[in-house]
Amino acid sequence: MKILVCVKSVPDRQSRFRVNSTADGYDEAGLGFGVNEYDLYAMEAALRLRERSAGAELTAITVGPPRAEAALRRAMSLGADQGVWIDDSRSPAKSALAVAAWIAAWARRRRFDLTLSGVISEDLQRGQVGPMLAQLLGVPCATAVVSMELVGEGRFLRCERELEGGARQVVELPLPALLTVQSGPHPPRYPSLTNVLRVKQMVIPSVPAAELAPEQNSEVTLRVSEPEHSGRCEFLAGELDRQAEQLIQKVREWAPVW
Amino acid sequence: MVIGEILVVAESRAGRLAPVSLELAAFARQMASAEGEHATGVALGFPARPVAEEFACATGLPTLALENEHLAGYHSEAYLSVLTRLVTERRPELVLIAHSAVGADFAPRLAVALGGSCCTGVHGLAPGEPRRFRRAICGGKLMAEVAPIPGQPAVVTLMPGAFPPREPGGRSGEVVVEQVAVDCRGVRVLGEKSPAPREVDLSRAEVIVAAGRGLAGPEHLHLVQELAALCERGAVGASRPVVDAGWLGLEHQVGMTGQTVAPKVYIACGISGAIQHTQGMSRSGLIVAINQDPEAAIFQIAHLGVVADLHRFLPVLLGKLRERKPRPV
Repeated sequence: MKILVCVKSVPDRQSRFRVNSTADGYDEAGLGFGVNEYDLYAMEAALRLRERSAGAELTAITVGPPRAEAALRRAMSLGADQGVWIDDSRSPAKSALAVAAWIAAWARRRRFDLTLSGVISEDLQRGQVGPMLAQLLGVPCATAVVSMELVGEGRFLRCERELEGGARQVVELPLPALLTVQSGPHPPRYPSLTNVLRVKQMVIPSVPAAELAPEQNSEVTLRVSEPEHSGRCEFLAGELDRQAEQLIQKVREWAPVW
Repeated sequence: MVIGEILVVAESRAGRLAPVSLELAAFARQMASAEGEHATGVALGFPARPVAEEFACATGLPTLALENEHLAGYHSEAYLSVLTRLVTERRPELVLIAHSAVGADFAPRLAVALGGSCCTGVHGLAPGEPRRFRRAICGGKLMAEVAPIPGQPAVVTLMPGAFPPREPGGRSGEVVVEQVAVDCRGVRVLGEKSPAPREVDLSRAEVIVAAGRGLAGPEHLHLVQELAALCERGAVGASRPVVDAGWLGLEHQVGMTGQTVAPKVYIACGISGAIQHTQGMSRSGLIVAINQDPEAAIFQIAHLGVVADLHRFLPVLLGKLRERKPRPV
């Protein structure tokens, strides 16, 4: 069984985000980058599948500038066998379709049985690359999956995907297929020292995006701005004591709950 | 070709129209009136007529009811095959879909199948020409304006709870029922698992004290639990990361995949304020946010904000409340 996991380099979610000079994205200066958390859940899901199906091979892939290679190595150190970095530094992807089309161009003839990605990226929050990639590869897809198991002698995947209100839909997909993974009961493991050292020594092949496919786009980002504050939030000033006093008083003015 | 049509995919669950469908209709009307277009509903189901009639009646939009036994519940491949054919035939300018567990599942695939554009999780229109949408990025710390590529059909998903529905009224739209063929491509829907019965009914609470990732560990849960216990009809809520980490059970979760609540007072402790959470509590009476990150998106919807380390602030608050409120003897 061949498994492909797509990972993305994203800034720390606690960061202070500023608009970039072209006002069409966030300024990357000074931000710390890591692996998109949901993609690590996808890695964990892949590792769990591999543990239950002998001989499975796990490849991780990313699209991005050089910082993406660092995120790829971090994700691989959870236990991937190999990785590939699609370098789009020369002309960064402007939409999810560009990313999906490059991954599809690389992955198509390599015939993966299963492709996984996180349900959404923490930074752009589009949730598009996974389902678009499935469509480009011509394979069925399920999103927001929280559990999966191989059934029917390994020819099908039975998954539970998350619906609203805590309900789950149970679906069975024939392989090859693509799933996007939601965070859930199986948090990503910590990388073992052996794996960290192994991945550190590996040469990660990089493929220039332009060699894979011409850039196709599915939307244009016209402008990025800081949100207009509704102005309704009243910040309580002072030391902790003073803040607590004000909070009690203001809540009491609103409702006699305390 | 139908000139200037906006196709609204009505969402249903267990044969009933989902509330977000009315938000989609209201948003479609706003867009259509700005551009001289018209909006049409489409409901997929088995039967599809009841949902289509409910939608047409509540929104006044003419509605297509597309029926096939595989459309009784959501089936990704069946939906995709039916909608790809419908959009290819009708060639609407825009297909509007809920950014729900269902809509987010098939919308990006539909866009690719159509050779179209895709804008997901939009909150509404941004001013300007050509048509552009507002959406949150970076956990709501920044807003982006995105637009479809001109000349392509656009697939757009609307974040539930972001756009106010219109009051029902006026004449019902006409409903046309059609039997359609589907292609399931070997995918089987085996059913739905309901959540475990709730031991905690957050909908009855007057005050919800909710714990977020900022709590930093289950050993600090007592802080929110004690605060909730000091309130009349107080309860403990949680954001998704807290439930994922197993600090609190699913019955405490507020937001898209948890419960939707509107207590008199909602106290968000260490919650960043991602839309997935806020859409489950934004209609609360008074929203208090305690967070040490002054840029946290939660402050965009809070009425009262405390920028502080909750591990230091909550003990002070608890101490003061206890001073004022002698324990019953």
